[in-house]
Amino acid sequence: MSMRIVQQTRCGLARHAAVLAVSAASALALAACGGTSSSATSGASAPGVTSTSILLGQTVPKTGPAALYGESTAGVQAYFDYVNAHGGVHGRKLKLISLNDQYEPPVALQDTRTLVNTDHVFAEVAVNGTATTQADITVLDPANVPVVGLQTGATVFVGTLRNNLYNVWPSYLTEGKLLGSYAQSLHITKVGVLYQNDDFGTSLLQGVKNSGLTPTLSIPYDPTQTDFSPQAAQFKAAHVGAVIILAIPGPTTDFLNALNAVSFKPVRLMSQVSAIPQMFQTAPQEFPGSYIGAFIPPLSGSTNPQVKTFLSAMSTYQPGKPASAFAAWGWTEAQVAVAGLKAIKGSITRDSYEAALNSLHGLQTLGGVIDYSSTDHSGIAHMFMVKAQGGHRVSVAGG
Amino acid sequence: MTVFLQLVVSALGFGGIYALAALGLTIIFKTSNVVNFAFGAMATVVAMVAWTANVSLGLPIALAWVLAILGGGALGAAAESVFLRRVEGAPPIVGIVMTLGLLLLVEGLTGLAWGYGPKVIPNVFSGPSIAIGPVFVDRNDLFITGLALAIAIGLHFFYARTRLGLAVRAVAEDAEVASLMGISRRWVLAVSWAVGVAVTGAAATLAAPSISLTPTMMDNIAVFAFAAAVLGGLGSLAGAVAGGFAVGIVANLIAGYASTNLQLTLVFALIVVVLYLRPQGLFGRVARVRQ
Repeated sequence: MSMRIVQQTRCGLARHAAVLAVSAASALALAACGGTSSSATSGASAPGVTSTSILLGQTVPKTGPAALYGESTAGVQAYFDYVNAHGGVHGRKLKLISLNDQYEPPVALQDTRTLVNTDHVFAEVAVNGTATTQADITVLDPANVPVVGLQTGATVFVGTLRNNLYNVWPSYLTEGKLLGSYAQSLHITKVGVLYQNDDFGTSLLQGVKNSGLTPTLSIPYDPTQTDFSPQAAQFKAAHVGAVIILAIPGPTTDFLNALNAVSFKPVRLMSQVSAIPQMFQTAPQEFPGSYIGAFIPPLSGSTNPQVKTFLSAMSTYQPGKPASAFAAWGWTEAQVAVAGLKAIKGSITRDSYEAALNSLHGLQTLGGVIDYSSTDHSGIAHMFMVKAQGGHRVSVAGG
Repeated sequence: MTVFLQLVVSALGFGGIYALAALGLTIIFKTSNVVNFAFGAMATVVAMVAWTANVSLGLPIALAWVLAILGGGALGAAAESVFLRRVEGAPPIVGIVMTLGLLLLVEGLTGLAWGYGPKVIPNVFSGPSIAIGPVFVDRNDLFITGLALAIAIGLHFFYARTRLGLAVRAVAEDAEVASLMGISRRWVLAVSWAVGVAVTGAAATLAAPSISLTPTMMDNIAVFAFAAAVLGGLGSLAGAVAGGFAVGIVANLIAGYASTNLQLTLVFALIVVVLYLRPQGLFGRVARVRQ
C-alpha cells in the first residue's frame, strides 16, 4: 500500500515537473519573440506601435469642476488627423485614446493603468492636472512611458527633471511672476491673491511672490467650494486695488460673481487656467476687462499662420467642437509629441523617442518655442498678458 | 465690524438656499421616513429644465422657473412611485442605498443629457446690490431669504390648517391607521415627494445664476443642506429654515475669520456639539411613549 502511494506520488511529481518545464519553455519562447524592437520602416513590437499605427493615450477631465479642459482632446485629435492626412509619421497613422479622469487623482490613476497595462499605449500626450498627474506618474515612471505635454506648470514637474516627462506649458512660476509684475506695472499698491489650496495654486502664488510683489491678502480656497462671499468680503474690507485669481474656471466664475454681489470691482488678473470664454455670460459684470496670463495667442482675427492652421484643421477635422484656448493647448502639445516621433532615427522605441525629443531645439509651435535637451525638459518660456474684451481675448499693450 | 456684518448679510443667499434644500429634505422625511440623498441631484435637474425652457425655448425666466419646479414635482412623485415604493417595508438601510443609487444615476443622466460645461441662467432680479449702511446685499439674496421664509410659513399652515396637510400628518404618525381612515398612503407619499423635490429644485434654480450650473452643482450645497436639516431637527420645518441660515452664517464666519478649509469641519463639529446637548436638534421634539 505504501509502495503504491510512493509510486503514485512520484508519477504525480513527474507530471507536474513536465508541465512546469513545458510552461517555462513556452514563456521563454514568447519572451524571445516579443523582445525585438520596432523599426521605423518595418513591422514593430514596441508597446502601441504596429506597422501601420502608433497609439498614444491621454487622461483629461471631461466631467466635474474642470470639465472644460476636456476640450483639449479635440485639439490633439485635430492635429493627429491633420498629420495623418499628410502622410502620418514613419508611414504610420496616429491614434489617440482619451480617458476621463474627472479631475480626480484616484480616477486618473486607474485610467493610466488602463492605458499602460491594457491598451498598451506607446506614450501619453496632453495629460491634465497637477494632482492627477502626480497620481499618474506612479504608473508612468516605472514603465518609462514618455509623456509629452503636461497640462500643468507646477514646480513639482517643471522644476524637476524626469527622463520620461516633457513639459510644454510654461512654469507656474513664470506665469505667477508675469501676473505679479503686471499688477505692479499698473502701479497698484494693494494686491490680493485668491489661490487653490494645492500645488497648482501654491506654485502660481510662489511665482507671484517671485515678482517682488508682497500680497496684501492671500486667501486659499478648496476646488469644491461654491460660496465665495467670505473671500469677496475680505478682499473688499482690505481695500485691495487688484485681485490675482489663481483658480480653475468654476471657482473663478463663482468668485467673480461674489465680488459683484458686494459691489466690489478691483482690477482682476487671472491665470490662463482660470479664464474661459463662457465667463462673458456666466460672470458678465466682472469678467470683461480682466487681465489674463497666456501663452496661446489670441485666436480671433489673427494673421498668425500657426493660428490659421489650427483653426482650419479644427474646422475640418473637429467640426462642431470649440476651437478654444483649451483645444489650442491640446494642439500645441500634439505638435511637440509628433515632432519628437518624426525625429526618431531607427527603431521606434520609448528610449529612441526620448532621445529624439531631447534633440528638439527651436521648435515653433502654436503656443511658442520648445527647446529640450537631455538635462532640460522645460516647456515654453515666454508668456504675455491678454485682456477679456468684447467676447474674446485681445492683446494688451505692454503685456 | 463692517466685515462681520458683510459676512452675515452675504450669508443670507446661501443660507436661504441651504434652508430651501433642507426644507425639501425634511418634507420627504416627515412623511416617508426616508432621507433622500438624491435630493441635490434631483434639484439640479429642475435647474437644467429651467435653463432649457429659458434658453432653448425662449420663455421668460419666471415662467421657465415655474414650469421647471412643476416638472421637479413630477420627478419627485415618479421617483417615489417607481423606486422607493419598491423597497417599502424593507430595512431603512435599503431605502438609504436606493437614494444613494438614485443620486449617482440622476447625476450621470443629467450630464449625458445636458453636458458638463457650465451654463448661464439669469437671476430672477437684475441690477446692482442694495447698500444698507456699510454693507451690500444682493437683491436675489433678499428674494431667496423671503422665499424660504414664505415657503416655511406656507407649509406650516398647510400641515396645520388643511385637510391634505392633516392627511399627510396622519400618514406620518401612523400609516396603517390613516389607511383605515380612508387616507391613501401612496398618494400622500407621492405628493410629499413631489413637494419636497419641487422646493429643493427652487433652491437649485436660485443658486444656479451665482454658481456654475453643472450636473454636480448641488454636491457641496447638499452637504450643507443635510447638515442644516439635522441641526434643525430632522422632521421640523422651522428647524430646517433656522438650520439653513445658521449653517450659512456660521460657514461664512468660519471662512472669513479662520479658513475655508475649516468650514465643513467646524460646521459639523458645531452640529455634533448641538446634537450631543440636544439630540433631537434645535427644533425637533423628543418622542415620548406612554406605558
